[in-house]
Amino acid sequence: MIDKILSKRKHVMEFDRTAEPPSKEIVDSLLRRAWKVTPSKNNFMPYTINILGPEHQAEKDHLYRKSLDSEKYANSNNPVPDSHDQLNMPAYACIASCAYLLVFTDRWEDKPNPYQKMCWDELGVFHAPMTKDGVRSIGETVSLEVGMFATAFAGLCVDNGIDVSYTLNFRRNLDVWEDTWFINERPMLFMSIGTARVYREDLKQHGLYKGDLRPEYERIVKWL
Amino acid sequence: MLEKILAKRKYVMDYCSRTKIDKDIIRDLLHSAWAVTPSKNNFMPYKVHVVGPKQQMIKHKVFKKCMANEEAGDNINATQRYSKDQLPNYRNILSCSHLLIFTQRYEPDPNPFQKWLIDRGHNYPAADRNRIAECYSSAMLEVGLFAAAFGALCLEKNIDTSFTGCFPGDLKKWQDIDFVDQTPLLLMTVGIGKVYRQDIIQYTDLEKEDYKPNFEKVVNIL
Repeated sequence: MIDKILSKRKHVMEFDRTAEPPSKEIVDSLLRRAWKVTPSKNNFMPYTINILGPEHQAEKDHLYRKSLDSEKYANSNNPVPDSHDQLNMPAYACIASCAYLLVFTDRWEDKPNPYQKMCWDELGVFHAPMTKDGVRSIGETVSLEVGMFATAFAGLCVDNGIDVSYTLNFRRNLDVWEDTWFINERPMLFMSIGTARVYREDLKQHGLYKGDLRPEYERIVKWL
Repeated sequence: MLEKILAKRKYVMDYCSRTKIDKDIIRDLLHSAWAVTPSKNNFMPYKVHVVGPKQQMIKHKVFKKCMANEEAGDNINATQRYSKDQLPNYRNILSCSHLLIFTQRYEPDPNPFQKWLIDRGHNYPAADRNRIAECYSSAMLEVGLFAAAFGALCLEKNIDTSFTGCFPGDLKKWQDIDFVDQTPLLLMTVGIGKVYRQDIIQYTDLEKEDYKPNFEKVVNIL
């Protein structure tokens, strides 16, 4: 059953801007359920999910442009023309066209729970998420937990007929985000949700995407 | 339904060491997780090493690394911290049926589409042995996606899983386990739970107050 739910998820290249967006109540309810079932190391949940709703189109357009800039930056030694034109691919269009965009960022815990506080005060157990520098030093662990939250939330969304996409193509260093009022800590993941207009797998019918297969199972899972 | 299954997850302190999960079941669940987990540019920049019930020596080595890591991190003697009444953390590594060790992986043989893009100047550190450190953060995120899917699939079959993130991240400290040839990312244990953390938490009032941050702290609706 879970297999069937999770396999319903398909990467959305572009969402349908004319479709009725899921209500805030539904999105909030799905987020609460994901929050409830997602585990966290030492119960810190060291991330914030910043949500841009349908009324935040300017912010989504801004993030779309930032993702394009990021790709240009990553390929800055590239003398070849941008392949997006050749692919006719609306790269990151999912960011600009989604109903809701979730921006996951680092979060440090300024009010630890009583147990976490006792561990630090009396046992000397230091937990990195309890300081700003600490949480920045464990960015990879935060990423891992964000991935767990995202899987639970995506499963709940597709189970309710809502499409989701992930975007990881952006720069993580905070200094490039000074022009973005809602990103004050290091970004970890963009997740866009809404009703799909174009899935990536639809584009596979038309050419090169056909060869874009994931590595075989045996290359990822190694039995000892 | 999905929510109900996910809500069954409980952190396992100690597994029933006599109950081994059939290899074919674990293989099917891993295959399902592999099939449903998305990956940036389809690289899946990680590898899952599966340590089975007959490889107890490897589990012992991993357990010792975790204890040593805690001692170094907190500057304590773990033997003193864990009195005979307490289960040491990481006990689940010794008693689990299967231990999954996630490590980074670079792609030496990109798929045809990736090659087409690389030929057009696209820059993929995931396909370069010398640059995979640049993918560390995104590899961790993707491992989180995979581990959560695999955990959910296990729960549906009434199989417990737990995660361990406290281990030495420095590859040099893994030289005695030869298959760990890239940076370790996550330890995940699989089996049938015998002692759950929430059972132990009932021992003290203070430990009952080890709750997660409330929803509003984590979700910021702009």
